[in-house]
Amino acid sequence: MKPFEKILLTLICLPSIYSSIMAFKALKAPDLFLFMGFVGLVLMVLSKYIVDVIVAMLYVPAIASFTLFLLNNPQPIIGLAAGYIIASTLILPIIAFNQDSPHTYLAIYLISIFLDMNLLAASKPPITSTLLLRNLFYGLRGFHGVMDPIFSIMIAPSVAALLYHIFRLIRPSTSTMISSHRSLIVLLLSALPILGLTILSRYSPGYAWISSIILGLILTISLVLHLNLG
Amino acid sequence: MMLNKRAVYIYQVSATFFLISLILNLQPIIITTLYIMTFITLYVIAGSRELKKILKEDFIQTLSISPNPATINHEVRIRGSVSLKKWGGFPAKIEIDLGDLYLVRGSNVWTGALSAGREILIEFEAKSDDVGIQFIGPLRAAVFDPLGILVRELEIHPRTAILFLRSTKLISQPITHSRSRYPSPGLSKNPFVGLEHEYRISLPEIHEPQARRIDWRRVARSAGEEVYVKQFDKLKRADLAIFIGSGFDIELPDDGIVEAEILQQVLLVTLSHIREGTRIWLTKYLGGGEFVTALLGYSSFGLKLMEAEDIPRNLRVIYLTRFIEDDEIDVIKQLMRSRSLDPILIAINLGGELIKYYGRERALKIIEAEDRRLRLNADRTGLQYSITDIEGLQETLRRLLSFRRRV
Repeated sequence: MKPFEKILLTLICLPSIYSSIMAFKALKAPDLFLFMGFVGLVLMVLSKYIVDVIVAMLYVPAIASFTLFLLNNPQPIIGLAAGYIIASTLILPIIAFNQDSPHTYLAIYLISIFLDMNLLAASKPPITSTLLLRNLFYGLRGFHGVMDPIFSIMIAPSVAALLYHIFRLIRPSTSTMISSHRSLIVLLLSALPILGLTILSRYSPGYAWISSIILGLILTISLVLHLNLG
Repeated sequence: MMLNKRAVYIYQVSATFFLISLILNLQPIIITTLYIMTFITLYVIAGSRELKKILKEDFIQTLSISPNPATINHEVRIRGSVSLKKWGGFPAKIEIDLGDLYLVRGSNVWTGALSAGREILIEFEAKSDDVGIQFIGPLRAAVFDPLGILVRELEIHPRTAILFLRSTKLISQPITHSRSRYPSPGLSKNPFVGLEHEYRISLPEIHEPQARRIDWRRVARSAGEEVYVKQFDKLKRADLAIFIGSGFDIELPDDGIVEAEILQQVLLVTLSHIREGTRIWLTKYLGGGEFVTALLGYSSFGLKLMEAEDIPRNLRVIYLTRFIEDDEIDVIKQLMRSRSLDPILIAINLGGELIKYYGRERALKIIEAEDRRLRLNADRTGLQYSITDIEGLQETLRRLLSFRRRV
């Protein structure tokens, strides 16, 4: 992977990195197995599935925790599972980065954002790995997103990097979002209604919600009409 | 103008997640997806103007096929060249539609950046298993905006017919050198040069054929001392269109596709009954009132199929059909009326083929039923017609072409 792509990937993963840090910060006490689960999965992906890494970081903790589980100590295996879940939000965009289809990557990214939000909602300190898992699964039923301002800020550069990446995958093309003046201008213009919606959601979430529907409808209808009648 | 397939998928994924996140009230995902949707819509509105300026006329293109007519299961070389008169710097995808042919070597697609004056070459080899009129093309150019989100598709060259035959050698071809500058199929005007097919008809003495049309070298006498003479077939001068109607795209277990047999026989007879300079159009009915046409030409390498968008008016027409398509009768009537064509309608009864597979009695019943159906339909056209089977087609055609005698 080229250095530029590494930067791009880091930017895309910013919300996931933030939510993972927040999940670790919310832990009441350090959990070795949770940490091993997280690091094991991340290293497995970053090392491009080197067998030694997989054995050392994945199989050994898994066998150890399972043995302890059989010896009537379920805590390590729960910790390991929680570690895997935290890592999954981060590794999803990493694994799919070399995907050739932009829409698949976009879907994976949005799923990852959804998991990040769920993770942030479940990480209300002080928690343990058991509590984190329970919050994650029970929280899904009554889940209505999260309003973490830092998380929202993290999303901005992440979406910019995501757009650059997915529109780079559209072929054939002779320029990227940065090299094309038109796309840069449109990118800035597109941010205006979104900025308006974000501000509106601060004061009146109900109106922001209705405005989102109206904007979505206007955009889709305009696009269809322009392509068919234009 | 439309969206690139990948951009459509991006928009679809965004819209789907937007709806889900609206239901779940997930603000960050609503914002993200809405941003992508806004970007695509605004970009399309801003970027479409430039692409709209590109017209079909801005392209210079050629599409050549060699050999044509071709032999089935043998490679046909297809070469397309495209260049842009003006504009440039657009990413583009140029494709020659393979139709029912399959690719053997090379690629029928080119992707890259188009610029004015640069010639793009697409060369490949393809072949077909099926005999009959096949088509290659159209040659399409998809021009994209620099980011690749928008695409404008242009059909810059129409599809071109390729005639696939079981063997091109089966078709008789002129054996004399043509004096014409633009030679076309047909026999030489020289009365002393002819082909075997010209001497086949036998007439009893009582018919008193014109002396000048008798081939005196082939006068025969039967055991009953009855004198037979062999007469030259009349060669046609008029231009001709051969229409292949509906119902021939079926395969017989031993004889292959019916259309192949029909075409082979029609060309065999027609080419040996026309005079040099006569033009032949091959036209196929596609259903739904649509026809495709190609002009049969003649080059120094033999027969050649050329592009023809339409057939001229006042032509002599041989229309072969089985009346399978419901709307075909109306289409025939409309065609004859609108073009003032002089038609010879030949309905083919394939019932005879069934004798090989069923009992004679059963097959005869089917032949009779099919004959009734064909007569009924042919009567509805209001045209003069002949009904024949595959075996009798050559003779029917020969008599119709030479003497306008219906069988």
